[in-house]
Amino acid sequence: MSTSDSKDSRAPLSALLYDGATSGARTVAVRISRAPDGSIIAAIEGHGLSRDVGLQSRALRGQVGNARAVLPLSDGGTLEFLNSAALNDALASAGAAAARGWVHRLEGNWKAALVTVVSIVVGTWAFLAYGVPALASRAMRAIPVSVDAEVGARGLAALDRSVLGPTGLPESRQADLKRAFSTLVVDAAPDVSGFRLEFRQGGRLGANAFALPSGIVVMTDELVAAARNDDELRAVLAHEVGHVVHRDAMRLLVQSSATALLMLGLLGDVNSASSLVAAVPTALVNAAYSRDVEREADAFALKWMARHHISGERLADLLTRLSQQPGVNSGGLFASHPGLAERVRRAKRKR
Amino acid sequence: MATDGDADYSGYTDEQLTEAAYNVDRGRYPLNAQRLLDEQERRRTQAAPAAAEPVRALTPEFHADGREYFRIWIVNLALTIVTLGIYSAWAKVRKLRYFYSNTSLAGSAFGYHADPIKILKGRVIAAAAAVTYFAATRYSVFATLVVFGVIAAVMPWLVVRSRMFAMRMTSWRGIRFGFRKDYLGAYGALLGWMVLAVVTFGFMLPYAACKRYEFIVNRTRFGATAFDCHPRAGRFYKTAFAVGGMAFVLMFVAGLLATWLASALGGVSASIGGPARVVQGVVFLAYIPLYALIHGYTESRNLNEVFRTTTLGDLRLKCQLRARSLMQIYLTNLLGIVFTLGLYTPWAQLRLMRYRLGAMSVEVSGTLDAFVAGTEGPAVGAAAEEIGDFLDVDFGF
Repeated sequence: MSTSDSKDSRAPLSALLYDGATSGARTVAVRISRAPDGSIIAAIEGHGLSRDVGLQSRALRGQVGNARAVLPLSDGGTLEFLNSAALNDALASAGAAAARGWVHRLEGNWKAALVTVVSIVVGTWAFLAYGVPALASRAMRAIPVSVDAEVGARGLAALDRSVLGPTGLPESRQADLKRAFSTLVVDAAPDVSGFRLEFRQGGRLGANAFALPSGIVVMTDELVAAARNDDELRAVLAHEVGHVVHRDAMRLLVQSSATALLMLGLLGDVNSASSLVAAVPTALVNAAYSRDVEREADAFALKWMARHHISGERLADLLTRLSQQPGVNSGGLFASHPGLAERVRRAKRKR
Repeated sequence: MATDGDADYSGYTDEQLTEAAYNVDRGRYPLNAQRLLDEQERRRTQAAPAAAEPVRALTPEFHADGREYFRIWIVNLALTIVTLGIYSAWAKVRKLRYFYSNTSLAGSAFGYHADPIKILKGRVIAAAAAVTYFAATRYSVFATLVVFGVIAAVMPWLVVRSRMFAMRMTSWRGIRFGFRKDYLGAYGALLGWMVLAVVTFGFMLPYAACKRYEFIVNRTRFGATAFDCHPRAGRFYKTAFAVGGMAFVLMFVAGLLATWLASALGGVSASIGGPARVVQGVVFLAYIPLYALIHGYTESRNLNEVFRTTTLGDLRLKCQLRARSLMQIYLTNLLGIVFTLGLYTPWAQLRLMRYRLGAMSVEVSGTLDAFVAGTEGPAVGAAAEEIGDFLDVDFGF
């Protein structure tokens, strides 16, 4: 064998030269050098050909991994280097190591890759845990309350069309509960206006209560029927008032939009399966946010109850009873509410 | 110690020859170096005699390496995050260039030459369109319908522009691919047949798919030579019926399994949300093999038919994708990505690419040296391609 050490920087590089007019390929030998003005010169030899061409710095920076460097030349031709590692060695020994670009060097570095993986994981977690809620609070201050009213009214109208039915509660019962609600509101949330209590037939939502943006609280007939006394209903109403005071419905709307965007950005690269792959972590994160605001609303309700000497047992009793009806979820990573056991434990702590 | 000029390269394989050409020290062994070049030249001319040569099938080679691509992928991802998405244009170019330039046919690699700045401009326009789209869907049903109408109306235009951009940026042996600017044909082939498919309650859908492929391939050219493609619609129907049948059986079995599970679990099912939840869960899980089945089977059969009936000058193309292998790749890729929280993604992409390329071949009877460059059309912006990416209008092969 009469080939020399491949590390010899003076060894010419093997390349294919195309003239840009036809698809014929010519095997040539190329030597790389650096001109005084810093430009990179390729001396091409072979097939009776001997000439120098300048290599575009943009094309050199565009090299990726050890993929062949396919470099367009200024005369319309193309030079294809068969061994990209050898090209970079040649660039380095010509004193032009920087020509390949810092991204290309970064991509060749395992340590950097590892650090990157760790920082993406930690960064994503920190952003989801602290960044998104903080940004949402910021954004909420910028969203005028009139938007809440619009979203709330539209939300209720949509629910009326799809799930909820007109209430069957007697007028007097409604009036009683509304009176209790306004007392509660004046006391628990003196700074917030726009509260309104609505009654509806729950349909497949069953015994339930929820707060829409702008202070619309909806309570289903089934829930009123399931309660053994009005203190239980007051506990639920206090929980919903907590949601309104914290503007939770709007907050979740803002946060879920942010997470959906983030997940799409992170996992959007996964071609056609992306929607399926991105849907699961998005749902997980949004469920976690939802559980957080439920915990805060529970805490709000229990604080108010304690001030008015209503035992936390009332909330615990009602939650326990409701959990026995079919179709109620009982915790888990995808659940919108914390597990029953946890909520009851917290409630019972406040006697 | 060997003396110069006594090396015999005739026994070398082509790869060894390339390797030697890189390694040889021309200063010390000028005669050997010349012999090497002569041998390469001899093989080149020998490989290219005219008609008598028997037909040989060339398969593209794919040299990408999973570990190397992982680092490229993760750097792309990190820089995209740090720059709040701006780097994604550079990321796209680097990814495609890694794929293209690691693919070689008859010893020559493909090139990808898009300018990231152009792609970035396109992405900004696409993002504006996307925001409008989301705002409209949130706002009202009517606005959503209007947006859908607009998308349908501009879709053929988008496809043509995006194909023009993608093809112009792709080269092989220094010759660029191209796509003929045929807007009128696009409205007929892409929108006309689609409207007919909707009017006939989907019965014309396989026919529309066939016409779509035919349109795309027939407008594509390599240099000055146009591809010529005549897929048979009957094949598309056969595939569609087979997929429909299998999908139905799969969902039927999933339904049976769900009902059986719900009743078998009985009391237990109440604690995980009732029998309805069990059925929902099983049906959701069944979507994963369903997705693999529909995509794997349809893609393999349709592409095989399209390539089988495609020629480029004297070349015949061929594609031998196997539905089962493709389904297996889709399924295991999806599971791999989910269970590694996305870290398997680069390997998944390479695996799919390697399988697809390995199934393709070009039947050559003469030489591949005789293609000539085409006249380059006007420059095309990347906006259409980026909007198309967002809408999942993908006609890449």
